[in-house]
Amino acid sequence: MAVALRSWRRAGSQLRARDIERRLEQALAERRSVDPRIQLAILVMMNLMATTPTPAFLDIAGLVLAAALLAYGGRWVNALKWLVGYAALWLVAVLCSVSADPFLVSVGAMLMMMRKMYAIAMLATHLVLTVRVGELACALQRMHVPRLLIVALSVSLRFFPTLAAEASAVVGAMKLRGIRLSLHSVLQHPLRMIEYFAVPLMLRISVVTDEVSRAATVRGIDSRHSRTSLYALCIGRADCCFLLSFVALTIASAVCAYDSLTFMGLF
Amino acid sequence: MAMAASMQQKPHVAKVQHFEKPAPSLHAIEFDKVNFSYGALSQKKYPILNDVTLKIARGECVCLTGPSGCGKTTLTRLCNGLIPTFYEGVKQGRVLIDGIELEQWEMDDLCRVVGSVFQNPRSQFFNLDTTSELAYGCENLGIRREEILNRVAQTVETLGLQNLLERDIHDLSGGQRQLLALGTVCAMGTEIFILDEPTANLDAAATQAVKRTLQRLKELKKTILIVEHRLHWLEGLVDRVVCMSEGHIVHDWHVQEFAALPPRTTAELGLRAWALRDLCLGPQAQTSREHPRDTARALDIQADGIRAGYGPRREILKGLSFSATGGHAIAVVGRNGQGKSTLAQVMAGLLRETYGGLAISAQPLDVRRRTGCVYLVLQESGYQLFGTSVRKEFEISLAPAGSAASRAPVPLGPAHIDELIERFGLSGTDERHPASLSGGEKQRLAVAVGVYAGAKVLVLDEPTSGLDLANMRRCAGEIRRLADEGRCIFVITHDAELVTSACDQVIEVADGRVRSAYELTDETLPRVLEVLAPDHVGAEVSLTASGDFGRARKEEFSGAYRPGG
Repeated sequence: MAVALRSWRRAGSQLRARDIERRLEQALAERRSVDPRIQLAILVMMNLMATTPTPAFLDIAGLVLAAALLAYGGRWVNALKWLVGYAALWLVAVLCSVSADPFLVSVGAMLMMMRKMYAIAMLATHLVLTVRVGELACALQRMHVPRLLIVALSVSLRFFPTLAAEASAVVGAMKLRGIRLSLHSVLQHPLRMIEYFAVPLMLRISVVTDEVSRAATVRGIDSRHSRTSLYALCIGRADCCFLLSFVALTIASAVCAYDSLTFMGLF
Repeated sequence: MAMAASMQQKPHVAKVQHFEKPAPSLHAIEFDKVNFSYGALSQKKYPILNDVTLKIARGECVCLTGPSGCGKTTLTRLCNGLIPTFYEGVKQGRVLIDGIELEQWEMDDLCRVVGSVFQNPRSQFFNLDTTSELAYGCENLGIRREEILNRVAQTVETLGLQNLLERDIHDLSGGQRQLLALGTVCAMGTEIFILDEPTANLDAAATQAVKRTLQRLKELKKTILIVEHRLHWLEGLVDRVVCMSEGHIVHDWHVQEFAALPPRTTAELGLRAWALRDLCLGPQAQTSREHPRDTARALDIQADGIRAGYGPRREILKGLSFSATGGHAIAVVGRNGQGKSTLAQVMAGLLRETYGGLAISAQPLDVRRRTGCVYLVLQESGYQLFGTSVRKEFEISLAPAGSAASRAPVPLGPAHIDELIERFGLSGTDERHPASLSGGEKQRLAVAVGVYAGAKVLVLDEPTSGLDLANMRRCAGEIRRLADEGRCIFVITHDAELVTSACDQVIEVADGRVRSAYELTDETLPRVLEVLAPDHVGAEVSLTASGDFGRARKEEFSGAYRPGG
């Protein structure tokens, strides 16, 4: 990725605005990934698929397609890791289900269920990790989602890492005062632990929230103009291919599900 | 928008071109006999601003200073529209921004003209990557994509942010984040920049980078209003120094007049030092050397080859060793990201070292037993207070769990609580909730509970960031007193004034090791000032050129934004 960026680094601070603009444009164009809108649509379809009983080959087809989507976005090592994980999961599930122990059999059945969610987890992780907040906002704007929702969504994406950071800061501060947050202490003094952990956490969060909303206000978040974007998303040929493959997959699984239900005499 | 509700005609400022000279108007900011108090009209409130008249011409760079709570921040909120959009209050008198009354501005248009950068670099970003962040304001204002690209590129060239493009914001240091915030505002095409303590959390090099960037903005005839306590970095940047006190503007100096004032006069006004070269050591350096205390000999701390970090690929401390004895206040100095705070965490038992160890009075101290012996006072010390009242704060246990309790220091008895409350200037606050205390009071309470718990070693992380002169001096006095009682105090700081007035030893940390450790004397003073304020001794510093020093990922260019990949 990003030849433009590497040369950028080398050219350093000598670059003039026109050059920067050109390279920036190039760098944004090089961000090859499936359009966020398509990714969202695919996620919805995969979720629908997971609710229907489907034969294993369709699950695997979905998985391979998801892996292809990751690889297309430049994360093929990651895609391979996910595939290996899937194989391992299946192996364990099969081993469990052939055992005589009823507990292991039920674990095996649970793992088989998880297998169906696997591709969804894969795609969702990919979406969260690679799609920038700005791109997601752009995608939603194109879909004419109301501004308020877009703002809320992009701010809430920022919220969870902040919450985690603040929570670990509170735990650290508690440790400084000799208050340890452990299962033991929580069971022994549940109310006190809430007082020591939850109350300071709320206080910190409210401070951060206040600061963030002030920053948002002076950066024009309430503007009456409709929002624009730095990103020029367009749905290309590859995006269409992915979309069509997943649509085909969904239809196939719907047909299979209908068949099996008819077979069971429900229709 | 609330502020536009009452007006009939809107100002015609919809198209402010980037870096173009704006329509002529006499003053960028004009306050005319302004009174202001927060809250609704019916409530009788203490006025925050009292008959404030201030005119800031276009292209002027003004520093606004004064003791804590004097109304500086409120004044900036009236400039950037946070009052009345965000805060309610009662205002009398006229505020004109760019020649137009505040009430006539739509927030939408105001943020094209007035840009704000806040103190905390942590909480003013909305994206995870720098490029999107630079464009964020423009996107909100509905500017065309080609124009956004153009503006971002222009801003990057003007402010010299080439090395900050296409990066993960998490990987940026505090200074780089402030530059990025300036860039975002600049790309919106603003003419007036308002900075509220922009360098409170920054080291000398980062402060210099912010200063250089502001100088470029000044060359472009932008108007800049900086609210600051620490004044020394503003030399050569600001044109005027305005001093407030209790809601009034008490002085309005031209910078040359201000520089000519004797340090005694500025100190009487509660202002921090202007020129660090005038700093000289307090009496502590002499006395502590000449009169070593008996108690001091009882305590000594040895750190031996400490290695620690956050995971195998981010080792921050790389074999750090030092030794110290009680009765001293030791300044731990060095650039940000070199391991000062990590050292504090290791010493306080928050982070386990992977190698090496810490011993107090020749007893090796395991990481689990450090809490209690070593007490860390956080920069935002309010966060380490958990009690429901000041008195109850002392009752929260400090004894570590399990067998370690036998080795824990013996806390002082309950009889000492009153004494400590008195000594740390907290009398009369017994029953108040710690969250309702002022910044300085919270800090003193946090120190007091550590003392109560019997800590012999105290580590203070940036105790004076954002404190005015009075609070800084008070803090320095407490540090000195704690040290004189035989404790060993480590002060992690960038504040040259604090170092010279409280500390008698220096440990310089660079790249996870102790670069040098020495006593602070008149001879070594220039050496420590070189670290704390390189600009004043002519040393060349660079922030963006050397890339990212804030985090461990130095070499690789994180432009390929693939977090977690």
